[in-house]
Amino acid sequence: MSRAWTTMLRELNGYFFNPVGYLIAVLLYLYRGVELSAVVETVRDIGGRDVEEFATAYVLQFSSLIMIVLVPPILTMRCFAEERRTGSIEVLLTAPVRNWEVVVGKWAAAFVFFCVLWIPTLGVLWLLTGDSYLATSIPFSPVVAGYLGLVLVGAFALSAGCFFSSLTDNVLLASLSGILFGWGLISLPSFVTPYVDTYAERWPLLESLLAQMNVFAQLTQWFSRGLIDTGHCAFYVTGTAFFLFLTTRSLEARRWR
Amino acid sequence: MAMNFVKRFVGKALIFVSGILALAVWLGLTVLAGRPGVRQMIDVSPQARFTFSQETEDLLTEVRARGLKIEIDTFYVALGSVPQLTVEQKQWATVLQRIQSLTTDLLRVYEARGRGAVHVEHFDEMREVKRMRERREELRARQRNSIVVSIGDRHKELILDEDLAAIDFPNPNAPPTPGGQRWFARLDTYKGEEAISSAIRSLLVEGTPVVAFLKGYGEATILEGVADSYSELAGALADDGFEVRELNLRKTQEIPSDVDIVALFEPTRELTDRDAEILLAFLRHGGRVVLNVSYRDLPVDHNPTFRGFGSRLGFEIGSELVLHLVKDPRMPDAPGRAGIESQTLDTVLNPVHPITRPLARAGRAPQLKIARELRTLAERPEGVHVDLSLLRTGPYAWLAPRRASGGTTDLSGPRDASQVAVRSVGGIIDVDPETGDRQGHLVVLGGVAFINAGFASNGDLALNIFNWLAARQELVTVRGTRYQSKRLELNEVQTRRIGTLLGWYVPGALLALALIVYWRRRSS
Repeated sequence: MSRAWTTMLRELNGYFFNPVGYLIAVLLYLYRGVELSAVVETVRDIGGRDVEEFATAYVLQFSSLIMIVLVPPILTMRCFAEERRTGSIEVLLTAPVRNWEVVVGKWAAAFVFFCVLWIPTLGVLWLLTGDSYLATSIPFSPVVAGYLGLVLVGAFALSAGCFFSSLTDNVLLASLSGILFGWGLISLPSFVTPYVDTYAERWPLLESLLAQMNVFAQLTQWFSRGLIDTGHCAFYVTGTAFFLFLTTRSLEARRWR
Repeated sequence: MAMNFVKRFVGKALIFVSGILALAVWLGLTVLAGRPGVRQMIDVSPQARFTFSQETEDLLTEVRARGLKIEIDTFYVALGSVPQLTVEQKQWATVLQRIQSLTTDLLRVYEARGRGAVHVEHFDEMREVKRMRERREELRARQRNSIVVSIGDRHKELILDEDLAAIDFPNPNAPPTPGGQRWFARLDTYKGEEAISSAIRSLLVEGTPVVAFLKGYGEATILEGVADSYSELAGALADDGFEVRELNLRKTQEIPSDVDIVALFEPTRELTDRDAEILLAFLRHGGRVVLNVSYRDLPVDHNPTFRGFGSRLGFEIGSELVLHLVKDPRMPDAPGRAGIESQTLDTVLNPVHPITRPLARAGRAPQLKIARELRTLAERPEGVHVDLSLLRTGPYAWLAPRRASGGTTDLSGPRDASQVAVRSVGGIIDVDPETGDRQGHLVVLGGVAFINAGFASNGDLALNIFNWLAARQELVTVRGTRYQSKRLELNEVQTRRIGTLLGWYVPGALLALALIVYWRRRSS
């Protein structure tokens, strides 16, 4: 486990001392700032709205979706694809470290950096409650639950990104696959569910599975409202474990070439 | 060479199989974790609005145990069809949207907690016109922005902005605030759980008590579309599983044996001795009666006092109007002043009686616009128990006399302090049975038109009365957690400051951080 920890610290160092990560954050926060300013202006224009609605809107903006669709593949695209391209993967795989430790270490580093990217939003929300800005207390519990949902989805998307990165030596292909996966994760269940509903009585298992996989509905209708369903959490945790397992197996497969 | 190929093929096949197995395990665990018995819900919402009261949990357990299915259909008004040209209209749309969103959230929890016993169907007013119309006709849904709760053939319609929420409407006569701030309709309280659970409970109650509204005394009607009609009460009773009909004692000469409750609302003529005897006999045989009196300024003789009926049961109804001093904010220590507002009475509910206890606990005392006093008679017939503490006024109520000239009501105020006192405007008379052990009950209400004119706020009291009289104690209750809406209002300065913080300061700080990292990287 300590070797996984060492791998994570080494990777994390790479993330924090790469200005590209910060540039991504600047662009995201700029976009997020424009979005939230529009929300605030709407509140002013319509004469006010429920504080809880503002808290929910703060967590779930289009920029939040960008954060969970675009950022994880960008963070993980180089994990293995770059190592494969440069040939350093052979060094890594022959080092006295197990495949799963490499996978977990790289994923954990990306996960920590992903979580760090969200921290300024919490700081800003705290600032907003001040007398100069909103001048009111905001219910933090749905915000925290919303962040939990985003972080869980992020962890899942990062593990999938690691897997796609392990399949190819093309960084662009790895990131594109991750983006497509993330976009499919967000949009596909909502698109498919109405069709499946027709056959819900015949295939209750499929309906249940789709409900568990409906990431967008879970974020907008459960987590961001302050309602945490352990069934949903289990989907992300086991899904993350599944993709990490696949990534390990993918690295293992190199032995058989 | 061939050996190597086989080894590689087997190795890759094993990895592929392990991947498939892992996928099966993942999907299996996902389905298992989503099973109703396994999944848990952790509610961290403000005011724990997703945490059901024990009564609702028990109700859903009962529904599951009885193998019943609850269908809940939502017929929300499409907010795109609500005019949103002015700020007031936009704010109203915001209020409706919030109620719809809170209701959708709540119904999702009902579905999850119901573990298969509750099914929610949302209809889109814009996209599913035909399907929605057919379903509405099937459920006899009359309102546009409503939900319908059904169990089997029975169903109950709840209006979102009336039954599920309390909305604070602006007073058009309110003086302008400093700075010219405008007031809009705003969501005050959301009480969805209370309304939906009560609807489910009412649909579960078996049997159909019969309520007969008496005709022939110049009383208020229960017909729809007639001014001052009690049609809303009649509709709510029907939704609660009562059979509602009309009864004319002059035609039938007696109260039919299948009638459980007889109601007489705002009669303008006295009961005859014969009718009083019929009602008394009904009470002596365990019957239940509701009497709600009226008050007319003119003609004076349209205010029956029911002296004959009352004397048989040990009570009397005052002919004067009850008024109450109104607090004057300029003199907070004084009892108050008289005036036209004195006709509005803030009542005090009996905190113990099953009819009023849940309302008293919830702090939902009805407000009466005008009322007449109920008094006990010194001479009380045997087997009759009079309790006039159901609804009372505050301590500064007096009786307004009629003016000598013209007979109109004199609202000028009490002549001296001895005239003010607590006065009863609602009571219960229990009548011991001649045979058997079923006691007769008479509920007398002195509040005029407070059930029909203010059904949205006073309807619960009325339904509690009927349910208690029908011995359906389980319905005489108000339950569920309520969500108090807290508003966020922003002015121009705040909006500008927030825009600067979010659009400039935060990205600027991150950009500075990126430059520092870049500079350190280059220098190292």
